[in-house]
Amino acid sequence: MAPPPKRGRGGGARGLEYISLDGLRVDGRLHTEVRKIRCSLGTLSRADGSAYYEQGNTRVLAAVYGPREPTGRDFEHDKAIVKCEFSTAMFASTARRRTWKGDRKSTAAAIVVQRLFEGVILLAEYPRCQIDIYVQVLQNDGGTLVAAVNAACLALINAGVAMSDYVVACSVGYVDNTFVADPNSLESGSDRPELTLAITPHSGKICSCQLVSKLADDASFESAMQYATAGAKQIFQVLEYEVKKYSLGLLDSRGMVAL
Amino acid sequence: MEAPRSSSASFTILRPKRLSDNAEAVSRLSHVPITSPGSVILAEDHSVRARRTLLSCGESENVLTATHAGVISRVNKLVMVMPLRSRYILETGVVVGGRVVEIASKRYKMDVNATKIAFLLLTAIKLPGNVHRRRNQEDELNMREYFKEGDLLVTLQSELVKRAKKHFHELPCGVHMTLHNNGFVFLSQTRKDAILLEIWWRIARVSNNILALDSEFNEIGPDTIMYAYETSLANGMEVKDMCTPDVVKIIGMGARPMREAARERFNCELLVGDQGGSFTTYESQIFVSGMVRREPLITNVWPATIRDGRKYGGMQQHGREAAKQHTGSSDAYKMQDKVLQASFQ
Repeated sequence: MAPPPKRGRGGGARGLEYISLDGLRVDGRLHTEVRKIRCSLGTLSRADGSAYYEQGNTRVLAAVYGPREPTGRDFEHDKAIVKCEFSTAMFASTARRRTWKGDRKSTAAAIVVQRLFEGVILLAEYPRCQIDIYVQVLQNDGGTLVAAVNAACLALINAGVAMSDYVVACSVGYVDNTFVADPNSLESGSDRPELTLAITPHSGKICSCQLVSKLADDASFESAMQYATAGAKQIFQVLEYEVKKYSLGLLDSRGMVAL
Repeated sequence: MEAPRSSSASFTILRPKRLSDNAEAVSRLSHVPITSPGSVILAEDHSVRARRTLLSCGESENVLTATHAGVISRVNKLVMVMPLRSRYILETGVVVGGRVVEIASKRYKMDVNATKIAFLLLTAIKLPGNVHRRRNQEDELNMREYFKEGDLLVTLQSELVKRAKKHFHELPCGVHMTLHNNGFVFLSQTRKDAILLEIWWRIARVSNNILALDSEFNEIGPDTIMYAYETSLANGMEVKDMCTPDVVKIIGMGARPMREAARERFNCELLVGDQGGSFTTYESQIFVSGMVRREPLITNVWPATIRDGRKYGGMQQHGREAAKQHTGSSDAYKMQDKVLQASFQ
């Protein structure tokens, strides 16, 4: 796809070589490789839908309640409303940090997730209802928004909410003059550009696109988008297989295929 | 795993297949038409996509795509996706169990495990002592008093309850069970006197059995519940241990071999218990059993009957006999009679 990465100037801010001579990253991945994904559906018995999602060392738990009666005053007469809450556990990062639910980063992430799913869920099927998505980051190693989107997607499928397609997210970073897919916390930082892209895999349409920091020029942006799309398609294969495995497991347990 | 000492055991327990062995299930059940959102469903021309109750199919450019994770079902030209898990989809005429979440003016707001809340009107319930009169202010103020009982509610996934004609079962172990389509189950004693301690233990055991079957995604019916109950007794499981994951798996897996037999015998072996819905206080929540009268957005639940165990005398006949007795009563009950007739056909 892309030409092999140029050898980086050894030494980032901490004298660290992010991409070695062989083209391997700090954790041994190639620059197009996404971290290992493990996920399971239906983890929380009380929630309508839930999913536990791991991407490398980033671990996220998502729960979906709904469609149900609106808890607050606001509701739409002809469609459902989506409410999202994004929170990070105190023990999620290396330093124990007390994060408030309402702080800026969490709110921003929650709004992104909410708007994203508003476009994908068939809201017209559930008038005057409310769909709640709760995402909790249990371990933060970069790419929490990506993990949140993917976990929420699985949780919504588990809950049986009508969606037009999956939503799969992937992020792209830029280290040592190279685009890297799915950067971990070491490779992403406040001074590095990071593009988070969420697409619907069957149609390739973009649901959400967030860029942190600056990229050099438009060509870089196009390049980054390509990397992100390819990464998202990798992730989609994993998610689809996981959903299929879960569904067949349920059917096997229930014992009837003809309904 | 040893076979349970069960009176109806004409089958052996197969090697338990764990839910985590799904990779094996994928290859074994690869012929099952499973979809997930966004995947295209092969459909002939002029296929009709069904709406409402049992499915959803999105459509764009004359291509059918699924919107749920589920199994594709085709009936002639009708293509549907049956979702594996969702909130209960209400239809007119089903008997559901409800939990009171709020008391509004002259009505109870009930949670029936669906997407919307159901209303139970004050005019629709029978007053204690079988008194017939117009509801007045005092009744409104006493709404909280009308539901008091000591039954147990178990909540399970509604897909696991097979649709059956009879909802009220009297289990051989002396527990009366009301199994609703939306996944609410009421358990109580069969006799009207106060619940003995021994019956409480049995109720608790039955409830744990039901929860075990539910978490293993087994079909819930009186047969499977009794089988699981006997399994738990035979294996000497204590009631308090029945919530641990290991025991739950044993119970759930053990009930599987009988699902085939149960499905055939399902409609023949149902025992109809004594009448009516049961309502309960479960940690100060109130439950009612009734029939859905209207479609959501606004759902009214008319109770099949309400029984106040402390104040009633003997058994009340159910079904058409009861409806006949009520002819000549006030208007509020004429509607209810029709409900009774319809729901017990």
